[in-house]
Amino acid sequence: MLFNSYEFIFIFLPITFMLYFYLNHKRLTKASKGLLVFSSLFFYSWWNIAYLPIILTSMLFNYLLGNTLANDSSKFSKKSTLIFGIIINISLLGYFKYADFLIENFNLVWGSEIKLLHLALPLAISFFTFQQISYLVDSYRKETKEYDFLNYALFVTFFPQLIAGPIVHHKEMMPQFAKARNKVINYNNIAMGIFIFSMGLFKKVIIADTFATWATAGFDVATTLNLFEAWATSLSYTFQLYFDFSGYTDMAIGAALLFNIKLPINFNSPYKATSIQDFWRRWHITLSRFLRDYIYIPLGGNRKGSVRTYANLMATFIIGGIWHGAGWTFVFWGFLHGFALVVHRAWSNLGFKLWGWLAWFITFNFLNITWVFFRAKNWDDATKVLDSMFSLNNVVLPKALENKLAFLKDYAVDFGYFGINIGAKLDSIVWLIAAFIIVLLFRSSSEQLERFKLNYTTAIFTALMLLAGIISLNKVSEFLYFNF
Amino acid sequence: MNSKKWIKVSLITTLLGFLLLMLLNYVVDPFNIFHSKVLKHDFQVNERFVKIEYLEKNHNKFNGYMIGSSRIGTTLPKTVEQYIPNSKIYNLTMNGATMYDYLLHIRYMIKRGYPIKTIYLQLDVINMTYYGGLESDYLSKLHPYVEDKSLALFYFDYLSGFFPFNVKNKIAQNLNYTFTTTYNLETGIWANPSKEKQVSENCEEYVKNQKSFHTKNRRILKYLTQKEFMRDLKEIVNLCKTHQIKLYTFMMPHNQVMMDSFVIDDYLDYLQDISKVTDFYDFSGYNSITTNNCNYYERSHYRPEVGELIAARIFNSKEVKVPNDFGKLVTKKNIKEYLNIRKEEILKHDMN
Repeated sequence: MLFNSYEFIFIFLPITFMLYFYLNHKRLTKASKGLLVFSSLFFYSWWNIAYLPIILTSMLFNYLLGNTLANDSSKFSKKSTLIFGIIINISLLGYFKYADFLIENFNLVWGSEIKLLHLALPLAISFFTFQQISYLVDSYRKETKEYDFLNYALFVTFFPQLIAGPIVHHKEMMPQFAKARNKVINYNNIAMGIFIFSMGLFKKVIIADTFATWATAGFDVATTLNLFEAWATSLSYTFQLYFDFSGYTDMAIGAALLFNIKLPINFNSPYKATSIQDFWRRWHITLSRFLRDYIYIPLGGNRKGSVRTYANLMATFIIGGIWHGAGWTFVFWGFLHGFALVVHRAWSNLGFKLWGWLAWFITFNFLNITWVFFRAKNWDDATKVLDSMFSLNNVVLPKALENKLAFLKDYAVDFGYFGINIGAKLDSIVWLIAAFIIVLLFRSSSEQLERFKLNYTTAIFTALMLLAGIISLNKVSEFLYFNF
Repeated sequence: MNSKKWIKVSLITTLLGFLLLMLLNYVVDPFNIFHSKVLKHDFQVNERFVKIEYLEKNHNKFNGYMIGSSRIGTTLPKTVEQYIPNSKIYNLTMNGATMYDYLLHIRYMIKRGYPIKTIYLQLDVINMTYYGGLESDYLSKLHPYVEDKSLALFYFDYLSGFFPFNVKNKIAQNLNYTFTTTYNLETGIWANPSKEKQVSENCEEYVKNQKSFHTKNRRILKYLTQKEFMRDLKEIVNLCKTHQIKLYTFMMPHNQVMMDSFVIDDYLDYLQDISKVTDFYDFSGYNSITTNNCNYYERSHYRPEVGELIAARIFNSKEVKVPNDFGKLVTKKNIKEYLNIRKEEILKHDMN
């Protein structure tokens, strides 16, 4: 079920909300937790019930293993148990997500003709696998308490964060589920939840889906792009991805707040970043946290000298790239980000500093260019966009400028419909400018939530965003991060 | 303000806004779904919906269907009826239709027991690039019966959507009636009397002012829908065989400007694929009709006279004089030779 759908907003969410608090009101707290787990699994199965056994098996396996790790009297070596658990989790993910990628490359290298498996990727598998690996590691480190299966199932499946995060930590969720005060309706949280949910819905259906049209046309449909179209394509995707994913996160945070659960923030105005390190502290924060705590630091972090630190950074980001998708373009995207972090670290260690605006300009352009690899389905699509972004052989300007700038024709500049290959017109320029203004000058959603006040202005503002979102629900489209 | 009041204000405002929008959509009826008739003149009509709505009550009046995109919409049913004794044809033209629309409608009509003896199927070269419908394209949503969906949800969808372009233009259309396209539900055709008048009175002037004839196209349209296209065409041919329906298939005469946008080899592969499934008449290419802009309203739509020539060629009329280079029967046997000629012709055109 999508957050941006009639069935979620008008049926699933209100019914779950009412039943949950009704059961709590009757002091049936176990039943209310059971209801949340059942609703979450229903929410998950809405797409394809065939995925349900996979998540249930994965949960049961990790729960039992976590208990074994937390139990001092276990007869198995804790380290072997942990390694076994991690291998099984990674294998499950690898089988569904990377099998065809590995077979393809094996065939390419060895000239074999092993058939691809064409497995459907179970929804949210990357998210729930990472979340459960962190649980196992924490159990091994004795950082978990003994939870019953119902609590554990709620931690993994809680529907606002199940599909695309934020990737939550048991330490920040379990106490909230247990707290007695959270079982009573809190109107303040409901107001904040509606406010942030509306904002997320608006970001997704109004902004991200508008940019999606040009990004899809540029990457997937057009066979050729002129200079303007290529930049419009890459920037459209840069903005689409941000508004789509941060919109989803806002909706997740809002939906969770209705149940008095506070999810961690996942975005903090990432396109304001003035360095790549700064960016990763603002973008998909819970993934960065996971990569730092469970990959970078265990690899040695920055404790083993410069060379090892750089190697650890590269490894962490290449893994981050692969986590996003099974393809060399994702690996390359991870490599570029890892490399940029290495350069940034070396640069900072040498004590160099840039002017703020220049640092932002370099960072933003780096991100915009590297998202091309992230989005492109193959190298050809990526090079098609990038070649055109940096080629002066295919400049087309609006026909209206032809008389004034006719001399440019001597330099192979053409005049005509400058956005034809991606269906862009002047309004796309307005949208791009507006998006820059929003991402650079406006406060992030989490800051807006912190400053939220109960007054008529916020009430009407929320109603307008909600209304705009609801009346655009017909443009149903999935969230980009559902693919990862 | 306390939080309870805040929640009430925001939710009630949203609800009121939503109800107001529903009322506006009902009154303006931008796609002619509700037939509220508060505004007399249509701006755009969801042809797929209104035609099935009409045919549900009147399908016994017809025994044949012309099926295709909007491009077949200017051809009068009698153009075809005159060649098929006892036929009563309905023009089931649908704007932007693809193979997906054709198949779903044919399946539906057969399933519902519409008496069908003839299908006059127009293929587009556009079909090689696009397949399926967009959920968000309200002008082209299928009648819910065709997709086996709920009629009530369909109405709700049209009541709750936000259509600023269509609402604004329908109001403008009714305040200052200047337009343009008319729809005839009884025959299924559309017409544009204003354009027809202009082009028939002074073709040269009309063509000069019609921007779409002067666009420089590049060969970018590829054959992307092979799998779906072939699957659906085969099913249509089989359905017709099974139900003893006579199927006439032809490729439309795209205007030369449109022809300029097809990737040559993809276009030829597409023609070859059709010949593998069924014989068909090909009117596409650079011939005396497609290179004469006076035969078109713009680069997409040809005039009724062209539809008459098409039918005359298909039914081998002795009374209508059809240019020799217009329309050729393509079969499995002659496809190879035919494609060589076509390719040579396109390369020659491109050289010039």
